Amino acid sequence: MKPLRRSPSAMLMLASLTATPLIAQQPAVEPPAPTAIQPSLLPVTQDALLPNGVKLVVLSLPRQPVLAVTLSVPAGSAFDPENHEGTADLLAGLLTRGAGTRSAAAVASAIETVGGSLSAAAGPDALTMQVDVLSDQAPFAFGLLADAALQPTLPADELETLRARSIASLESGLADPASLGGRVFLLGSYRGHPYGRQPTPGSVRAITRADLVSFHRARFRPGGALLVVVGNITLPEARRLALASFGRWKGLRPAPLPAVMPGATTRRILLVHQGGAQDAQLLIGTATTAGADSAYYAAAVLNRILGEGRSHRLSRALGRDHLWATSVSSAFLRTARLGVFRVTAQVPAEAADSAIRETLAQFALLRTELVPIKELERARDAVTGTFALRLQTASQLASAITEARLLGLPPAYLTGFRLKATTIGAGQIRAQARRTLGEDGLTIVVVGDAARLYRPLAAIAPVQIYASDGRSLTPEEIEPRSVALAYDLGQLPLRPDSLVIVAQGQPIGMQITQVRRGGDSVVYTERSTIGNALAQTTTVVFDSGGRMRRLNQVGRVRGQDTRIVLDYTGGKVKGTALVVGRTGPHTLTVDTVVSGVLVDDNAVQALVPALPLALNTRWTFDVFASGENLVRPMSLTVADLVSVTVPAGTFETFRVDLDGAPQRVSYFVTRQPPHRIVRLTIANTPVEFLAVPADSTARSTP
Amino acid sequence: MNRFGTFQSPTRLGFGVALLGVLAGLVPAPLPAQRVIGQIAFEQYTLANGLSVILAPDHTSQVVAVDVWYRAGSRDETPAHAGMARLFESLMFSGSANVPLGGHAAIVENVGGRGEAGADEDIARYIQSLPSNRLNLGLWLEAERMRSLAINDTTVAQARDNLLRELQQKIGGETYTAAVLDAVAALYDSTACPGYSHPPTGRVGTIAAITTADVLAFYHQRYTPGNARLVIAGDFDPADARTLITQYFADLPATGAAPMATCTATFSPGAKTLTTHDRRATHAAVGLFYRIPGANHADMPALQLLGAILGQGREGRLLQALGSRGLTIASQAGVLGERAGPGAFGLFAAAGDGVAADSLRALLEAQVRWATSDSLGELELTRAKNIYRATAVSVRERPEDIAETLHHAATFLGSADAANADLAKTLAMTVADLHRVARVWFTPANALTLVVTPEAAR
Repeated sequence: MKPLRRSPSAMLMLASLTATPLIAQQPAVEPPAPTAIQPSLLPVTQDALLPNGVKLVVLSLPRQPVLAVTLSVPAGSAFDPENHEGTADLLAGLLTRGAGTRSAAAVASAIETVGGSLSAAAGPDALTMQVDVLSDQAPFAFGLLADAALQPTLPADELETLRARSIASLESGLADPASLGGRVFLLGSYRGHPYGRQPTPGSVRAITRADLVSFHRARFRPGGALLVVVGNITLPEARRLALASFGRWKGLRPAPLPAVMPGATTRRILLVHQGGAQDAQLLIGTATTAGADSAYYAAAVLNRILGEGRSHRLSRALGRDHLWATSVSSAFLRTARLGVFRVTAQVPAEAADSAIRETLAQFALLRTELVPIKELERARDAVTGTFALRLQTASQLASAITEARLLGLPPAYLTGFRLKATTIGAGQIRAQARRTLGEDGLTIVVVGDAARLYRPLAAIAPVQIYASDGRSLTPEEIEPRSVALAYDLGQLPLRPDSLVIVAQGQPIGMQITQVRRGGDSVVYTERSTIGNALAQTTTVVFDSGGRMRRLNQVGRVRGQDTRIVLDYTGGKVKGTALVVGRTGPHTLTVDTVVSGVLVDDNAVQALVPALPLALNTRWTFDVFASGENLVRPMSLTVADLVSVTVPAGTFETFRVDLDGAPQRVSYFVTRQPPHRIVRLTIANTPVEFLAVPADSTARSTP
Repeated sequence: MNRFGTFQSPTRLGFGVALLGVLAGLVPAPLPAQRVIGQIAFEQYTLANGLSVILAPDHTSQVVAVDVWYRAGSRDETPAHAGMARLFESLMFSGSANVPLGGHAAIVENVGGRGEAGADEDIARYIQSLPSNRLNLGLWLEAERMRSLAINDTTVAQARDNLLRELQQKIGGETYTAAVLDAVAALYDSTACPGYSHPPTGRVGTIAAITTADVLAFYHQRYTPGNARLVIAGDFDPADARTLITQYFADLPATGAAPMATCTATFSPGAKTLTTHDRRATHAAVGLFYRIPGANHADMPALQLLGAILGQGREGRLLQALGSRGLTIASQAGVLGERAGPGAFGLFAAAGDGVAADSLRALLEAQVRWATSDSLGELELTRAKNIYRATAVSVRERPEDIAETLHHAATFLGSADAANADLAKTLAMTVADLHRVARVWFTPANALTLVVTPEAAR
């Protein structure tokens, strides 16, 4: 259903205006105080059990001729088979893409033609499908839902489309500190319970259509299924339609989730290494209670006080008072068996330990002191108000009833929540803080540059360090000592190499590299063009011994001139760099003392084929980042042997990963000498460079 | 608000928007004593100072919407001050005698509510959804800014910056937007209809020319009780609401309605083509824009259905005939925005790979001819009516949508009663009605053709 049109611009402006601090002048007249919250006039839900075990919940609302129907089965992501995480998600996506006699396109057309909508999504506990239609389409809605749930066709082509989308999103999530931190936090908080398991690109790749069929067979049973019907319909009518569509469905309730582990007692820090990151992403929290626990009312008010909305204790402490956090919030995430509470914040790396200490101090304050009445009233007001706004349409009510029932909450939960929340007192807030915000069992996840963060964090709690792929790292590994690269420029072929630059399969530019020898110099030239966005020529001059002598780079990036001229002589790097930064072009004057052998970051690509490549070799070395005027360590790892097919042909290659820049670059270098780079990829971007045959250079060069 | 945005994304179609233009109700249906499913029950009255009030209680949710519309759209600004009406979208959050700068939005959010603002060609709207025990707060806030909005050099400068930034993002950042904006404005004669012949977003020069004194003058003329309508919908007691309205609004000084800018329509002035270049575009694009009458015209239900048939959904004609064959990469069709009149109907498409602007133009014109032919039949009409009906019902569910629907009927369709009468009228349309209306309005002499050439073609 389409909402009324809204002005996004106005919302934007509202956001920017409200970022302005309030003027400290005392208003003459206070806004009026709230009146008492009245009992909800929403009719009560009616429950019925179908003979085959399907639980039917009906909210009869003859107000608008609309109908919302949800069907939930215990097939949430917590039931994903081990090493096949992502199964429930993929299945949910496929259920609406082909069912009964209808193809994916036919399902979409059928629902569009009646002006309705159909969706499906997997939560931790359940997979839920929802249909919204006009109420005179009730038989169609039940029929479509039954088709999708009971007779999905799971088309192979749709599976591959969804799989590719899922993998792409997981891969970009692994590079995003907030999303990566969220994953690690759930793993750490649930300590082996299935709630903590999450899909990876590998687990999604491993899922076959047969896996989906057997998961569907095992988990889609009438026993344990919940059918929620809201709108212009009576219980007998809903029951009749449910029986007609789901009556012949057979099967016993599938196995429940394993019991919940006892809570942890020790505090620990999980540090996820992202080399070079300037900020640290923090997640601090713990496992809480079962979904039906009555502590939720106090928890909701406590959360508003601590970290929800536009102004709360954490935003004042970490944001306003210390200017550490650019964003900070807290949340209780609920599941049927065991929820989690967590604070998330993004802070500069140097403030990470202070921000954690301050957060723990705020926890301690809530455990020991009673919340002032004004603050408590404001929080209750916001919690009850937000709750009301979530229950306005039949579709919203169907979702909310479904969610509440799946959590095991009683039928009166939705209508009684607001009045219950208004009775929460300061003592209950403190009791809830003592229960949830104790320091001992906390899991603290920090995503950032472990080389900078390890020592300060180790002073707070025991630290375990991980790479973003989950590999365990030692403190020594994240603080490696740089060495001089041993390379042999004599290995480099003297003919030009051409690579086409491709984004999502479409050519967008070219790169041509060439090595020349003259006198006592070796000169590497690299010309890159990407449409009108970039045109750049880089020339690196080495002496015959392979040491950097000069770097010259000229070009235009997005219409701005760039120019870097550097001399690497007499133990120094000297020169100027005109670069385009976030705020526009600016010139850096470079005059840096060089210790040992230093490589310019623009020269790395030239040197990779000149290294003594062998699988699992790793070099850590200092690089001068001329665009930023600083020296930083980078590493090259020969990580894999890969067969690569590019326009120039098929090659057996070493995959050499460059780490230490914001995004990993992978070079695919031919194993046969002379070594050539035949493919280059940049992590989490759709861009790659592919070698083209030498004779196509003239034709393709813009 | 942004009509042009409807052309940006193939997934976000303009029909939900356009729907509001079709609540035609020349014959108001009497409200039955027993409430009928889908009908909105309401009462209306006017305060002595001219403020018009509609109350529509509905206790399904515990939410109340407080929604004020002012006749203060872009048609009411002088072309030299184009952008004035839009300036108020953010200016109205600048604070007032008892609300600090930025405080309005914070107060609403802190009680769990939400608010929105928008200025169109004909009206400016200010919507708040609040938990129902906060009705008093919503009314107090609206009265505050109707009485004592903080208009000074600082707040005006900030609002101007916001609008310029929006303009830059929209015009400078979105492909085809500037071209479409100019084409729609070019449908109207600058002498006979100055109000519609300039883009409602304003232009950099005209926005910069607006002074604090100009803003104050517009506010005093347009943001007054006599030029406003207050609608309350949702969970409230009408007697309580009347008391609060008297308490907060009755002492505002009386005003008459501000004069409405005139706009005389000239239909079928002769075929016209506008060719323009967009350096961000990678593909050519073509728009066909037709002058149509205003929202309250008898042909509007058929035009709305034609918009759905041509432009809405995966089964829409443009997507079926062009998009699915790779001839276009994006397309839209429908009635543009809501106007007292005259209005505009548009078809717009960006060409697929290898499709030249001339071919695309011929393809779009063929779709218009298709709409007048027997190929458009019962199947297409039924689909369009279903979509229309589902949308019409969905804008009667949430209190804020009920409030907007009543405002719309009262502003554009002659009376609020029209909100309960439009559906039957639209559902009574026949295939013959659609053919006739398409033949009347979709003629070459009534069309403005927009051709946008991409960077590569230059």
